[in-house]
Amino acid sequence: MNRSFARIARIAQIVAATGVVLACESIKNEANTGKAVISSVCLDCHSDAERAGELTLEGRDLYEIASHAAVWEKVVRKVRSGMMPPIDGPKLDAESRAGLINWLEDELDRAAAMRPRPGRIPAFHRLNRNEYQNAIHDLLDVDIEVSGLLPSDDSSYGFDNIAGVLKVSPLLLERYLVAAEKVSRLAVGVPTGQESIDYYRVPDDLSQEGRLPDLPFGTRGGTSIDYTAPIDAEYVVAAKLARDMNEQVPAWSEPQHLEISVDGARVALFTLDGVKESPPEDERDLTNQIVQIRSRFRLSPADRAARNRADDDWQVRVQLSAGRHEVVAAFISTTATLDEGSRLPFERPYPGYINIPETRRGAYLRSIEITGPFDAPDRTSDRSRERVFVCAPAKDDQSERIAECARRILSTLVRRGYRRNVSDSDIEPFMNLYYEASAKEGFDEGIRIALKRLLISPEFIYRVEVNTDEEEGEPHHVSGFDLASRLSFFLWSSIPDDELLNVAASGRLGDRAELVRQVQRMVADPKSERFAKNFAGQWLFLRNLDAAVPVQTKFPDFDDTLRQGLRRETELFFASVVSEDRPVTDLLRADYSFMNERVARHYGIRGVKGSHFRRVTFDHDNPRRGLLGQGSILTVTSRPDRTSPVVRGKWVLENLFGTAPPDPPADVPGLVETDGAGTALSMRDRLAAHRNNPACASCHAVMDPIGFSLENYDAVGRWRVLGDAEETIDASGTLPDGTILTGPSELNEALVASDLFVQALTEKLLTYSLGRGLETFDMPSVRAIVRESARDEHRFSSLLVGIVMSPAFRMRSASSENSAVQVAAIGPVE
Amino acid sequence: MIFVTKRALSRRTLLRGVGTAISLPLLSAMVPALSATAPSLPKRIGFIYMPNGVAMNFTGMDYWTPRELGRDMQLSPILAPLAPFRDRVSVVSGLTHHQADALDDGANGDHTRATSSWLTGAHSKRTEGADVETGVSADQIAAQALGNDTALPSLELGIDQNFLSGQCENGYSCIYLNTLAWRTATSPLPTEINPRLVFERLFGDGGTVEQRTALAQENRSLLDSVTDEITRLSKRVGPADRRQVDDFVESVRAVERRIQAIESLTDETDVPPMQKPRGIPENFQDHVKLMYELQWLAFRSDLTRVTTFMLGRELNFRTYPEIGIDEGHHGLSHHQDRAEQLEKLARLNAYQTSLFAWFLEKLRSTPEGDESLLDRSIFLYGAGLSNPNLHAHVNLPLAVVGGTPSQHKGGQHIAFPEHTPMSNLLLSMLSMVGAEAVQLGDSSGPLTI
Repeated sequence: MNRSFARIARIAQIVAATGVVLACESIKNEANTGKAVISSVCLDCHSDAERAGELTLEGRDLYEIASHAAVWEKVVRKVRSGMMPPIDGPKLDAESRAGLINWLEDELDRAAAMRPRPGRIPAFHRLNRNEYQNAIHDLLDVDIEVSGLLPSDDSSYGFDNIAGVLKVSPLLLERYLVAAEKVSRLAVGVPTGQESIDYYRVPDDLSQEGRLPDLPFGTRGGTSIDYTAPIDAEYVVAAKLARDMNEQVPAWSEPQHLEISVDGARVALFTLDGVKESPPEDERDLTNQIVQIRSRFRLSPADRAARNRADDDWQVRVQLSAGRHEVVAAFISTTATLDEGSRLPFERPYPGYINIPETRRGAYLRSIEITGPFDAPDRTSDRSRERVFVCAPAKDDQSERIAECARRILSTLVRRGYRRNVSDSDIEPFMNLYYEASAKEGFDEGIRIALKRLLISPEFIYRVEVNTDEEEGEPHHVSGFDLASRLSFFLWSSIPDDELLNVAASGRLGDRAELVRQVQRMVADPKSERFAKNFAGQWLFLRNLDAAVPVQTKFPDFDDTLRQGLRRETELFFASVVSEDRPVTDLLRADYSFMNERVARHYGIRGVKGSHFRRVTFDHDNPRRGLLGQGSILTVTSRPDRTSPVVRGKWVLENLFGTAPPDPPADVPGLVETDGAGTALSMRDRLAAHRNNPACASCHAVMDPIGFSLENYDAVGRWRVLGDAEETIDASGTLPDGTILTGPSELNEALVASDLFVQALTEKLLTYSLGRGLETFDMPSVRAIVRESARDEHRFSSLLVGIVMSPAFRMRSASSENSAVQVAAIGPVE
Repeated sequence: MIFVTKRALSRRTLLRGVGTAISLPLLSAMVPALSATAPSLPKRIGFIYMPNGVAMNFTGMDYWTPRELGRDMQLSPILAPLAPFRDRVSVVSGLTHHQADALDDGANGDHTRATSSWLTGAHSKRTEGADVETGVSADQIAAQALGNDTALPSLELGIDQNFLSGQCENGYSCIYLNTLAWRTATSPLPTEINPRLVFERLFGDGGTVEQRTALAQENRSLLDSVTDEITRLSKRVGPADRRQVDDFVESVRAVERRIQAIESLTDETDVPPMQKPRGIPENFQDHVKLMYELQWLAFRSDLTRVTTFMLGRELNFRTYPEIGIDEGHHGLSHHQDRAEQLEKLARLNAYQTSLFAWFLEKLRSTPEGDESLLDRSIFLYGAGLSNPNLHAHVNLPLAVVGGTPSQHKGGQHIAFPEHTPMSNLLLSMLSMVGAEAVQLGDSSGPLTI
C-alpha cells in the first residue's frame, strides 16, 4: 500500500488549493475503480438485504461521499487494515484496494479542507493527578507523592487525561483540600505544629543481594529516599528489617550492618548481631535443605523473641534544613567470599514462597519511616520559599509597602497558577484572604492561606476553556493562553512556564514559526521526559509492569530490579527517538536500546557492567530490534505462566496498527493442553483450532501469525529456542496480505512497510494531546499529518508539529456543532 | 507507633514506639448517648463484590448454589466459611441483571456492565466519552436516607489499582469498571484502595481538637470563596458544560456538609483503637482484612452507615500464590468447564469468603446496645457475573448476610423464578434499613426473603 511521491504531492496540492478540484485523469480512474469495487465486492454482503455488520452500502450516493463521512471513514479504516473484505470473503487485489482507499480518502479530505471540524473538548478539563503533581512542582518547587494524596483517575481511549471522564466527586475535593493544606505549608514553610510520619516500604520482590542503582558503592540493598523537610528541625529516621514469611528476623552467622546516611554523610550504623552456628545433632534429618539450614542456627524462644525486636531501637534523630534531602539506608557490603549460601540464589527473594532467607547474602531492609519535625523554633528560607516570595517585607515597612509586596507575590502566583493574565478582580479574593489572615497571624500565614485557596481554585485544578461572546456559533481559534496550556500539558504534563505564557500574552503563538520554535524548545527541555513517561507509559502499557506477576517458580529471577529496569529501558528508548528526532519507524527497527547490567544480563548480552543505563547497540545477529524486542512489552503481553501469541498479536494490532479485532465470543472453549495420548502440545498445536475453524480464523488469521513470530521471546522477554513442550519453536506465519514471517525481524519490516504504524501513532498522539477520543471527522487531520510528515521521513518532530498545527489542536467547535467556516478565514492545512 | 488522630498524643508517646494497639473499652461505654434504646440505633448496610464471577456448578459439584432449598440448605464449598453465621445467611438464587447484557450494543462489555449494573440495575451507555451514563446505585439511595447524620454519607472501598492499561473493554470507559457507586446516573464515586487514605478520611489527619476545628473553619471559608468563583465561570460556558459545574458545586456542598458533621463530632468520639495503616499492604489477605477492619471501625463509630467494597476489579489478573493459584484470576475464570480449573476458582472464592467471615466475626463480637453490630448490619455478598466462562448475568451468585430475622429469615436458600430482576433484591435490602425506594433500575417490586 505504498504511494508514490508524485501522488503525495498531488494530494497536497488539492488540499492546499481553496476547494478547487483538479480533474486529473488518475483521480478519475481511482474513483471509477473505487465505485466498481463497491458494487462488485462490497455489495455482496453490505446490501440492503444482507446488512452484514449492520452496514449497507447499497443505494448510497457515490458522488456525495462526504455527506456520509462517518460511514465512509469506517469503511476506509476496515479496508486499510485488511479487516475487510474478510479472510473468507471475496478477494481484493492490491491495486483495487489502493484505488478504493485513495478515492474515498480524497473525497473525505477535500470536504474536510472546505469545512474543518475541530471538535470540542469539555470546557472544564480537570488535571489528572500526575499533572497536578507536576504543576505543584513547577509552580512552587515542592515535591509531593501524589499517589498517597489523590485518588487515581479514570481512563478512556487508553489514556488518563481524557477530559470527559475526569470527573469531580466529594472524595476528590476533600483530598484536594488535604493536598492544598500540605503543599501550602511546605511551600511557605509554615509548620502545622504536628509531626507527620512518612513511610517508605521496600517491595518484597526486590533483590537486595547487590548494589542497587543510585545507591553508594560498597553497599548492598536498602533504599534511597528523596525527602522534603518542611522546616529546619529535627527528624527521626527509623529502619525496619525484612522478616521472613513467618514474620521472624532471619539468622546469619555474620553481623549485618545497616548504614543510614543523609546527603552522603553517615548519621547512624545499626548492627544485627550474628548468630553462632550450632553443630548438627545426629538424629536430625539433614537431607531436607530447609531443615539443614535452620538447624545450623538453633535459637531458644527467648533468643528468637529478642532477635525479632532487634530493630526496635534502630532510630536516629537528625537535624535537617528545610528542603530536599537524600536519605539512604543500605547494608554495608561484605565480600562474596563470606557468602553463607550453598548456592547462588535466584534474583527474586522467596521464589515460590519457599521460606529460606538464610540462603541470601544477608539481611534485607523492609521499610524506613521518617517522622518530624520536632523541636522547631524558627524556619529559614529554602528553595520553594524563594520561588513563592518574589519580594519580602522589611521589618519596619509601612503596611502599604507590605500589602504591595503581598499583591506582587499573589499576582505572580495566580498568573502562573491560572495560566493566563490576571486582573485586579481575579486577585481580589486572594488579597481579601491575605488581609484577614495576616491581621491575626502575620505576613507568611496570609500568603499561605491565599496560596491554599489558589490550589483548590477551579481555574487551577481545571483547564478552563470558556467562550467569549463573539465565538458562539462558529469554530474558532482557542485563545493564546488556552493554546499555551494545551502545548504544555501535551509535552510537559504540566503548566506553561513563564516564557510560554509571555509568548502567548504577546499573541505570537498564532504564528507558525513561533509555534514550531516553542515545540522544539519544549522537547529539548528536561521536563519533556514526562511526555515519555506518561504517553509511552500508557501507549506501551509500561505501567502494567508494576502489576506483572510472572509465576515465581517458572521465573524466579524476575525481581523488582528487573521490573523497574525493563520499564526504564523502554522509557529511555522512546525518549531517545523523540529527542534525537528520529523517524518514528525507528521505534520498530532501531538496533539499539538502553540497558544496565541487570537488564543486559536478562537479555544475555555481555559486557554491560554497572547499574546505570547506557545505550547498547545490538549485534548484527541479535534479532532484537525496537519495541517488540524489549522485555517490558513482551512481559505485559504475556500471561503469568506462559506466553500468549493471541494477546501479543492483539496488542500489536491495537496499539501499533490502530485496528482492534472484535472481541471473541464469551464461551470460547479452552486450549487443549495435551493431545489424545497425553503428550504436551506445543503452543502452535494448541492454537490449531484458530486456523481450522473458519469462524475463528477470520480474526485469528490476522492475530496469531504476529504472536507466533514473537514466540522465541518467552513470557518475560528472554530469547529461547525451545518452547513449553520442549519443541523447537516455529516462529513462522503468513499475514493476510501474503507477507511471510519467519521471526521478529520480518514482523518489524512488515509493520514498517505498512503505513498503518505511523497513522496509529499519530492517532494515539492526537488523542493524548487533545484529551478526547478521535471522531470520524478527525480522520482527515490524521491523514494530513501523516502525509505531511512523510516529506520529513516521519521524524518525530514532524508528527508533533503536524498535531500542534492541526485544526483540532488550535481550534474549538462552537457549542452548536454543525456550522461551516469559509476557507479564507481559517486557511488551509499547511 | 500509634498514629493518633482525634487527639494528638504527646511526642513522648509517639517516640516510645508502642508496638501494639491500645485496646479501648467498647464504644457504648464511652459514648453514653449511643447505648440508649436498641430500636432507635441506626442500621448499617454494606455491599461486597467478587470480581470475575464465581465457580458456579459443575457436574457433581455445586460450588456456590446449595443443592437444597429452604431451611434444609447445606452451605456449599464456597460458602462453607460462613458456617458460624449460617442462621443469618440467606442464599438467593435465580436473580438476573438483564440490563447487564449487551442488548443492542454489540458483542463485548460483559465485565463492564456487570460492575456498573450490579447496584444500579441500569443499562450503561456504551461510550468512552463525556457522556458516560448508568443509573443511581442502591448504596447511594441508602446513603441519602441514612447518611445525613453521619460524618460520611457512604464509603467506597476497593482493592485493585485502576491505572493499568488495557484493563477495560473496548468501547467502554474505564470509569464503569472502577466503582459500584453512582451518586447520579452520570456521577460515579471513586473507590479508595489505600487503607491509610481511608483511615484519614474517617479520622482526619491528627492534631488537637482546637487545631481540627480551626482547620475545618478555614476549609469552609475557602470553599465558600470557591463556589463564588465557579458560579462566575459557569455563566461563560454552554449548556453542555453546565453539568460539570453542577457536579463541582454538588461536591463542594457535600464536603461542606461533611466538615460541619465533623465539627459537631469533636467532643464525642474516642481515640480509634487501631494503628493508622502505613499504606497498601504487600499481600492480598492483609489488604482485604485491613479494609474490612476499617469498615468495622466506621460502622462501630457510626462514622458511616453505608459501604461498598470491591474485592477486585473485573478483568483483573491477580494471582494467589498463597493458596497455590498461579494463573491470573481472569484467565482462570474462563474455566472452560474443566474440573481442575473450576476447583481452583472455587478455592479462590472460598478464600475470599473466609476473609468475609473474619469480618463478620468482628462485627458479631462487637456489642451495640443489647444486640451485636452484626445484628445491626445487613450485607449483600456476591458477584456481577455468575458463570464467568460464559459472561453470564443470569442466576447471579448472591447471599444476604447479617441483620435480624425481621429483615430476612436467614439460614435458608431461596430460589426465585429465573430472570427475576436482581434490582428487586436491592429494593428489599433498602427497605430493610429503612431507605425505601419505589424503583431502582429495572426493578418490578421488592422480594420477600
